[in-house]
Amino acid sequence: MSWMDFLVIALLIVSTAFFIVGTIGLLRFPDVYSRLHALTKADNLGLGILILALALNSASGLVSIRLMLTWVLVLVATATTSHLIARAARESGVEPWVKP
Amino acid sequence: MPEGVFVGFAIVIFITMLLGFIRVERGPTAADRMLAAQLFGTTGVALMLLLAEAFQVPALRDVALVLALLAAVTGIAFVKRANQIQGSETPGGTVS
Amino acid sequence: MNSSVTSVSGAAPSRPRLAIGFAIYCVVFGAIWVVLTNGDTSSWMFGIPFTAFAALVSSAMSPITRLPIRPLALIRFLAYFLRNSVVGGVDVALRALQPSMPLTPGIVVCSLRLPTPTTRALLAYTVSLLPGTLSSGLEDEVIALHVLDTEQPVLVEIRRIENLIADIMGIELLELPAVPSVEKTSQDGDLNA
Repeated sequence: MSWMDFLVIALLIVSTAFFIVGTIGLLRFPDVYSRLHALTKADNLGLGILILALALNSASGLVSIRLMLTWVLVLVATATTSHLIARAARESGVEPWVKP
Repeated sequence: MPEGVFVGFAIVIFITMLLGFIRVERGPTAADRMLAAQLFGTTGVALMLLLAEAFQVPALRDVALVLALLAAVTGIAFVKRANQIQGSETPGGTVS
Repeated sequence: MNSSVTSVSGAAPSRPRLAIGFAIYCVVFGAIWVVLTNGDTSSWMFGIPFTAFAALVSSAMSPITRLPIRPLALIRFLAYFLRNSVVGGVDVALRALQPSMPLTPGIVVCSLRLPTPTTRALLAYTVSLLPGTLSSGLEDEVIALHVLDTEQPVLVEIRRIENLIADIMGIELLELPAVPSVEKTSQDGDLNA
């Protein structure tokens, strides 16, 4: 294993950690808005780091660019859907949780 | 890089996705259930990319790309549809 | 005000200027084709005609006469975005992992200085991926944000993102109304604008 392999594995560990944290937030956070925060931020960062790891691992520059393109598309998807879900929740009268 | 490494990470991420679906299933609000679109979009893409490396199937990268594209479209359709089911009126915002 | 991004009704752009737009579309679509086909040269037999056709249709549907974005400003925006994505991910991770789960969420409503619906939507989508903010409604120039911590200086960040987006598009920001347009619901606290 080269030093690059170690870097890739380290990045994969960090990435997986963010996916785990995203799910923890999803389960623990008190309302749909905070859960959206957990999902959008943690999972997107997790995917970004994962894609960085796979791009470093890949021998082909074009494959790396395509991986980046995939991340950008997921970002667009997440950003639009989270906005729409939050708006749908507000319009259907879901009150944000407030610290008691 | 041994391919088993990727399989290991794929399994962990798959478990986080399954646990996430507990929340989706429990709700309590309709909006909580819409989080499924979000969860599936991100972790689904991550899984496909890891499996592409693990089993040396480059086509799975294209699956991930298409999944990402579809996530944008289905996510929007899902939220619109769920809104209709809830019986709320057409959203009045300027940006949809 | 700069000339708008897509040509509006009125004087039609001249032929040579439209050709520039067609060339820009060709370069962009061609690059996408190369990336998607993994640079396979045998695919160009289809790629070149399809790229040209897509560019032609795009120039007809939404003619452009120059690059609609400023590359340098876009790079600045991306740098800001990447840095803050990491901050946002770590921030939400720390909140989720602490047993006490420190959250003081609330809704912050504020007026935007961005003049067009497209740029406002871009801002709304951007903030959802940045630390502690989530857009939960956008009505004309007023955005409603759900924030994880009402103590954080959210408005400073919003103003910064507005500047970055206006720079990319090369547009001027509107003046904010003299009346303080910021109100906060659900939570007391200090908002530093």
